Amino acid sequence: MMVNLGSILIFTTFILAGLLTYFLARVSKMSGRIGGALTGLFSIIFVYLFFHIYSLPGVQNLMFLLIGLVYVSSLFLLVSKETPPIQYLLFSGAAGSTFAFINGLDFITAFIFLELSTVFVFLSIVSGDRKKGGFLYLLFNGTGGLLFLYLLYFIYMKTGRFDYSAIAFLKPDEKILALTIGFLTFAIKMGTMPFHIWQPYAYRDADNGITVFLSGAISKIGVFGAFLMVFLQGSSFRISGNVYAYLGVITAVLAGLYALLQEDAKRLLAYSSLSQLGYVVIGLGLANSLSISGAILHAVSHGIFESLLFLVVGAVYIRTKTTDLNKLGGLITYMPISFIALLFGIIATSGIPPTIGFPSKWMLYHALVINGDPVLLSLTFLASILAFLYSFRLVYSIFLGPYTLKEKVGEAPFPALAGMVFFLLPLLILGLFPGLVLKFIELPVVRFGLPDFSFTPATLKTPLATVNFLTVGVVFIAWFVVAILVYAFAGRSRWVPVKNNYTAAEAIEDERILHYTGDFYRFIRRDMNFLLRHSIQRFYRRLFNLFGVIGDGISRIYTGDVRTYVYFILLFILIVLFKIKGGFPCLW
Amino acid sequence: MVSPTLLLASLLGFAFLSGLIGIRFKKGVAYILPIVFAVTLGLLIYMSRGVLDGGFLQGFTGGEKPPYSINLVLTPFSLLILFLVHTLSFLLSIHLLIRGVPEPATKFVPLFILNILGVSGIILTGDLFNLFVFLEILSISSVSLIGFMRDGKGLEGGLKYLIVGGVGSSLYLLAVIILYKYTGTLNMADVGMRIGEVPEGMRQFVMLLIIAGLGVEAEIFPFNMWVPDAYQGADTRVTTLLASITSKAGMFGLVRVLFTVLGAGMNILLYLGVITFVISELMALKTKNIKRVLAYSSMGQAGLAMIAFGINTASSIATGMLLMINHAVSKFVMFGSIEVLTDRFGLDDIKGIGLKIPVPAWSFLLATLSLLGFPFFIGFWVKLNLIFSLKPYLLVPVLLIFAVEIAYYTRILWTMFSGEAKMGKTLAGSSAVLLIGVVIVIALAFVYPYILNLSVKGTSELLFRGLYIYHVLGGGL
Repeated sequence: MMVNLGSILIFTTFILAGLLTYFLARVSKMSGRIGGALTGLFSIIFVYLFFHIYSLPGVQNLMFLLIGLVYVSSLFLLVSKETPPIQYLLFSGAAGSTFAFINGLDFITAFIFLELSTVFVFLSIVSGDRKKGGFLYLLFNGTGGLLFLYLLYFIYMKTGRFDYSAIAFLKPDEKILALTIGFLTFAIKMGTMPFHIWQPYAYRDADNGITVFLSGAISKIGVFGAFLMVFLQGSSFRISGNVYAYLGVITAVLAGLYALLQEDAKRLLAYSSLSQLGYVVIGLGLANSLSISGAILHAVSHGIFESLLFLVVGAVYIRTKTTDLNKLGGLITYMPISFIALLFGIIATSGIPPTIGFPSKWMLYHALVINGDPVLLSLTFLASILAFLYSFRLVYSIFLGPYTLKEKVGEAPFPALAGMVFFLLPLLILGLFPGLVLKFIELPVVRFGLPDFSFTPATLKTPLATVNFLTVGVVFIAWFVVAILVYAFAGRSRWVPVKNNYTAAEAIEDERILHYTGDFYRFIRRDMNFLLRHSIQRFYRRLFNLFGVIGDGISRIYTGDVRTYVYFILLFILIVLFKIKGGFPCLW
Repeated sequence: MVSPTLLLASLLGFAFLSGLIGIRFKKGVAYILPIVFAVTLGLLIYMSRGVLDGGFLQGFTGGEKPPYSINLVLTPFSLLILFLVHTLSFLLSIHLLIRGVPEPATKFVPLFILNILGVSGIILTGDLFNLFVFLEILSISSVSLIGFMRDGKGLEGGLKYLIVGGVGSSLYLLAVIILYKYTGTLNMADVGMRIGEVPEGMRQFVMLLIIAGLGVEAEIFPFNMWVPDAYQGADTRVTTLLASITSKAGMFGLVRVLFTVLGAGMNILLYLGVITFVISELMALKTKNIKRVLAYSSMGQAGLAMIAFGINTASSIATGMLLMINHAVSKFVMFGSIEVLTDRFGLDDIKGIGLKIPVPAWSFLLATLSLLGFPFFIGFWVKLNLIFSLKPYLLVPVLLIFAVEIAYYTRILWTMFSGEAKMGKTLAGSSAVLLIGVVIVIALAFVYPYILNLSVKGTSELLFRGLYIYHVLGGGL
C-alpha cells in the first residue's frame, strides 16, 4: 500500500497554508484576508510548478488547471467577506485533497483523498449556521466511499495491484462490475439523479465561497473519476453505456425542471449544476470520441460558468444578506459589473456563443445526432430549453425588475470582482477557441476509436458540419452590439410607476411585493404536478424504513426478559453441539 | 525487573486504601483515582521496556516457576490493551473529578478501582482459574456500578447482567473443570501444551462453553442481550467505563483462551462476529434512545473485532487489536460527551443540544467520524486494514452494515445539531478531557505505523501458540 508521494506533498502544502491562514485570521480580520490570499496563491503556484515538472497527461492536467482556476476564485470570494477563520483551514483541506485526488493515479491514494475531501466539506458545512446539507452530504458521500472501497478490494483481489491500469487485467464481466461500482461512486459525487438528494441542500448550506468550490471543483472529482472508469474500459464500455446516457438525460431534464421551481438562488444554481452535469454523463455514456470530448469540454465549461454564477450570487449575498429570489430584484442599478458577469454566466449556461457553453453543447448535440437515438436527443433538447428558462428566472429575479430592498447597496467587493474577471476571461476566450481545451483531450480519446472530428483552435469539423467558433462568436457579438445600439437610439421605453404596470387596475395595499418574479413558474408547478409528485426522497425514506422493519423483526430477540437471555445461551450451546459431528456421544 | 504482580497489588492496595481514607475524608477520596492510574501507568511504562523487544515479562507466586504456581504474563498483546485500559482509566478519572464522582464517592472509588483490577487481572493472568476469579471480581464490581444510583432502570440492568453473567461464568467454570480433569493443570501454557490429551469431542464442548462463558463479557451474540439494558440503566459515567474499558477485558479473555489454550474455534468466532455485527447495527438503526444506540453500536464494534480475530491471519489479528483501540477511545469520548450534554436520552431530548453546548457535541461528532472510519482519525486506517483482511464473501454484508452505521450516526448528529433545544437540566461543564480524547484519536492516526508495529508484535503470540507456551514455561524474562 503505497500512497502517492506527490499527492501527500500537495495535501500537506495546502494544510500548512490553511493553518497559517487560520492563525492569521485569528489575529485580525485584515491579516487573515491578506494571509488567506497570499498563502492560497503561494500554494497554487507551488502546485503548478510541481506539476510543470512532472507534466501530467491530458485530462488530468486539464482538471488541474480548471480546479486551480476555481480555487483561486473561491479564495477571492472567501477573503472579500467576513469568513470565520476555521473555514479557511477546512477550505484549504478540501482543495488540497481535491488536487491530491486528481494527482494520485492509484486506488489507495484516490480513496484516501476522496474520503478526506468528504470529511473536510462535511466539517465545513456543519460548522456553518445551517447544517442539514452537511449531514446529507456525509450520508451520501460516505456511502459512496464504501462503494469505492468495494471497488478497491475487488480490483486488488483480482489483480493484486492498486494502480488504475489494473482494470485492464480484469475479465470482461468483471470489468463491467468494476465499472458499474466505480461509476456509481462518482455518480454520487456528481449528483446524478437517483443520488442527488444531498446536493441542493449541501450547496445551499455551505459557506458561499465553499459553494463555488463545491460546484466548480469538487464535482470534478466525480467527473474525472467517471471519465477514468469509462476510459479504462475503452470501447468495450459501449454495451452498457446507454444506461448511463439515460441516467444522464433524466438528470438533465428533471434537475432543470426542479431548478425552475426554486425560490432560493443557491438552490436554483445547485439544480442547474446537477442538470449540466447530466450532460457530462450523457457524453460519457455514449462513449465515442466525439461525445467524450464533448463531455470533458462541457465539464470544463460547467466548472467555469457554474462557479461564476455561484460567485456572483455570493457577491450579491455579501451586499444584500439574502439569496431569496422573492426578496431580490433590480440590483442592476447598483451592481452593474456583477450583472454583466451573471449575464455571461447564464449565456454560457444556455449554450449561446460566444461563450464556452456553446462549443461543448455543439459537440454533444452532434454526438447525439450521430448516435441516432431520438428519445435521448429530444430529451436533451428539452433540458436545454429548461436551462434557458431557469437562467432567465435567475437574472430577472436578482438584477432586473423593480428594486425591492430598503437601502442602497454598493458594487461587489474588489476581490470578488477580480474573481469574476478570472472566470470571464476563459469563459469568452475558450468560447472562441475551444480547440485550446480539446488539445488536452486529443490523445486520450483515441482509446474510443479514431476521432471522427478534427479541430484547430477556432474551428471544429464533425461528420455533420464544420464550424468556425471565432466567426460565430464575432457575428453574435456584432448582433449584440447592433441590438444594444437599436435599443439605445431607437427604442421606445418609458418609465412607469410600479402599480401602473402590474396591478391591472386592481387596488392593492402598499406592503405587497410588486415583483412578478415571485413564484415565477407557478404554471409549471401546476402542470407538471404529476411528475413532481413522485419524489425520490420518499424512496429513500422507504428504504430507511425497510431496514427499520428488519430491525423490528430482529428486536423480537431482545425481549427484555432475562429468562430468554439465559435460554439463548443454552440454546446456542445445544444447537452447535448437535451441529458438530460426533460431539455429543462422547460427552460423558 | 519489576513483576506484573505489582500492578495488581497496587490496584488492590489502593482499593483498600480508598475505603479506609473514605472513612475519614468523604470529599477527598475521589482524588485518589488519578493517582492510582498515574502509578499504574508508570509501572506499565517501566515494565514495557523488555516486552517491546519481544520478550514476555512474568511474575509468579510462591517462588516456583509455572506450571507449579499461579503466574501473570505481560506479553506485547496484553501490554497494548493494558496500556489502552490504564490510559483511558486515567482520563476517565480526571473527567470524573471535573464532572463529579457519583455519590457516595466512598463506595464508588473502590468499586471503580476493583473494576479496573478485574480488567487488568483478566488481561495479565496466565492461569485459567485465576481468570475465573478476576472475571468474578469484574462482574461483581460491574453489577454494583450499574445499579449504583439505585434507580429502577439501573437495578434492572444490574440484575440482568448479574444473572446472565452468573450463567456465563459458571459455564466457563465448567469448561475449566473439564480441562483440569483431562490435563491435570490449570496453567494456560501447560493446558495449551497438553490440549491433545483432551478427547476431540470434549475439546469442542469445552470450546463452546468458553465461547458462551466469556462471550457474555465480550458482548457477542447471542450472549450480549444484557448489554443495552445495562448500558441504558447505568449512570452515564458508569456506562463510559463499561463501554470503553471493561468490555475490552471480555474480548481479550476470549481471544486469549481460544487462541492460546485451545487453538480452536476461530471459525465460530468469525460467524458469531458477523451475526453480532449485522444484528446489532440493524437494531441500532431502529432504536430511538441514544444510550441504547451507542450500546448496540458497541456490540457491533465488538462483533467487528471478533470478525477480525476470527479470520486468523497476521494482518487481521492486528486489525482486531486496532479496532479495540479505536472503539475504546471513540466510545470514551462519545459516552463522555453524552454525559455532559444531557440527562435524558430520547432522540427528541437531544434535539438542538449541539448548538447550545458546542464543545462536547463537537467532540462527539469527531469521535463519531473516527468510529465510522473517516480519515484524519485512526478509524480510517483500521477500516482500510479490515477491508483488506476480509474474505470476499464477507465484504458485501460488512460494507452494507457500514452504510447502515453511517445512516444512524448521521441521524443522531443531525438531531443533535438541528432544531430548538428544550433543555431540562443544564449540565454544561468543562469537558476538556473529551477534547484530549479527540486529540488522541487524531494523534493515533499519525503514529499509526508505530501502533500497527506494536499490534503486529502482539499477533505472533496468538498466531503461534508454541511461542507463548515456550516463553511461559521457559520462565520468561
